Parts: sequence; C-alpha cells; structure tokens
Amino acid sequence: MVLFTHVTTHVKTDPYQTMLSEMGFTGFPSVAILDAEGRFVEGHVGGAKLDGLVSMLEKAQTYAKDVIAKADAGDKEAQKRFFLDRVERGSIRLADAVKGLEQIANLTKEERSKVEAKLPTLEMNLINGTAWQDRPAANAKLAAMFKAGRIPAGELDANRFLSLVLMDAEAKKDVQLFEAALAKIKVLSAGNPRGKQQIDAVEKRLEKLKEAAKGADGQSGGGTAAKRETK
Amino acid sequence: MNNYGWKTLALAVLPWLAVGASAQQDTVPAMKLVAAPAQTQEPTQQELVAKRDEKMGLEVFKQAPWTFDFDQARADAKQQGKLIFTYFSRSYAH
Repeated sequence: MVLFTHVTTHVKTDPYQTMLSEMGFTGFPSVAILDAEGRFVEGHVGGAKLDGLVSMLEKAQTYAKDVIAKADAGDKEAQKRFFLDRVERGSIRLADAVKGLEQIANLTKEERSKVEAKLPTLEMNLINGTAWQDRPAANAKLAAMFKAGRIPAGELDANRFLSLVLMDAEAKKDVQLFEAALAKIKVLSAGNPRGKQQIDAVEKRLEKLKEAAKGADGQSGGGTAAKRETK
Repeated sequence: MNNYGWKTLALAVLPWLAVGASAQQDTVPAMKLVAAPAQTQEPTQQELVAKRDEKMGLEVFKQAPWTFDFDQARADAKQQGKLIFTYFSRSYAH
C-alpha cells in the first residue's frame, strides 16, 4: 500500500486542490483507498477505529481484485459495476461520469437515469471544490444550476445546495430566487421533524430580504434583481 | 497482504485519524439555513503557504513513508502493483 497524504491548502498554485470534493467527501479527516490510477475504491469519513480500518482495507483489496482488475482487462460488466459504484458514492469527477455515460454501452435505461440524476451533485462538488477562491462566484454558479433545474438529488446534497442558492439570492437581493429555493426546501423538509424550525428561520431571512429589496427599490427607482428577473 | 499486514498498516496510520473524532466540515454544512455565515478575514496566500509547510513538516509524517505528491503516489502504486492509502487533511484551518 502506497501512503499518500492529501492536504487541502487553499494555496492557489498547489495541484489537485479539488480532490477531496471530487471523491465525494465534505469533511476532515477522511480516508480513501484509491487504485493506481487514482480512482476511488473505498472510503471513510470521520475518526476510525482499528477494526474498521482493517475491514475497509480488506474490502478494498477484494474489490480491486474482483472488479477493478477485471474492468481494466476489458470485462464489460466489471467496467459497468466499477463506474456505477463510484457514481452512486459520488466519488467520481463530473467529466468522468459524463464520459462513462457516453462510453459504457451496456448501461440499462434505469442505470443511465440514475447516473444522470447524480450529475448535479457531481457538478456541485466540482464548484464547491474551488469555492474558497471566490465564494460569491461559486454561489452564483449554483444559482444558475438551480434556475436551469439541475438540483442535486438526495436530501443532504439538495439542502447543502439550496443553502448556497439562498446565500446568492440574499447577496443579490433576489427575492424571487430566494422564494423559489425556499419552496424547494419546504418540499424536502416535509418529513423532517426539525423542518418547521428551519423553515421558520429561512422565512425570517426572506422577510429581511424583502425589506432590503424594498429599500434598494426606493434608492434605485425599482431596479432590484427580483424585479429584473420577473420581466 | 495478509491480515497481519493490514493490521500493521492500520496501526501505522491510526495516529493520523483522531480515533473516535467526528469529521469537520470543509464546505457548507447540510442545513445551515438559519443565517448566512459571517464574513471572516481571509488569510493571505503567504500565510497559507506557511501553514501548509508547517503541516507537512509534522513529525508524524516522518514516521512512515508518506508522500504528499499525488503523481508520485500513482507512479509508485503502478510500479509496485499496490493500492493507495489516502489520508485527507487540511492546513488552511485547524
């Protein structure tokens, strides 16, 4: 086993700074087993105990032998499984997922749909991977995804995404965008016992935003982002 | 690698993993909907380079053959027919 430490440094000239998010991780410490091409095999986020770590290493070794080695030797079913496993885990680069959709011919219609549904999450991960350089610009990209209907599936990813869309709407005093994101959050939080409290908090933010937008209207003669959006 | 080998490797890397610790978020937490995060003073690139160098210079990384170079890790893994054990850490914050 080759030992590699990836340090997220936020130094602009350092290579592979988006690697953590491209592997589907959002926190530290995280551990991943990669193959020799740098592709995700197994992973774990948070603290680890000895037994868990040994089990992960053994699982990775078995998977590398049973799936990756066969995939690299040209086995179509193994190639498909390796691809789908990484997509499901969110541990594949967006470009590689798109390439896989084009190149892996034996995907069923259902499998293809599942991969396509995961693409917004991978796109969000890619944007978030460099967001530290310019968070407002990253949030604007996420807001553009939202407006285009590319919303990550799954409650966790969708909420992370929508919280950043709300920030963009606030920054631009875009009431319409904020309301649209809030409506989506309400749908997502329907079965969440903590949902009401969270929605109440977001609605308070909406009221403040409306006040701020009104103020901006008064100063600029009605040229707020919200009004421009509706034209 | 047999079971003893895995355990040896696991023991070698455990000090880096803060046993039992919960993960710290790198990006924005899932439901941070109550209020927008406060603006904080961003460190300069020079400060970030210093923090990176301090992190990579830690004694723990000298106790096993760790590399910080992804290209080197892949080249070694290919040459040796091995997998890559990757530990993700950060230096921009503690």
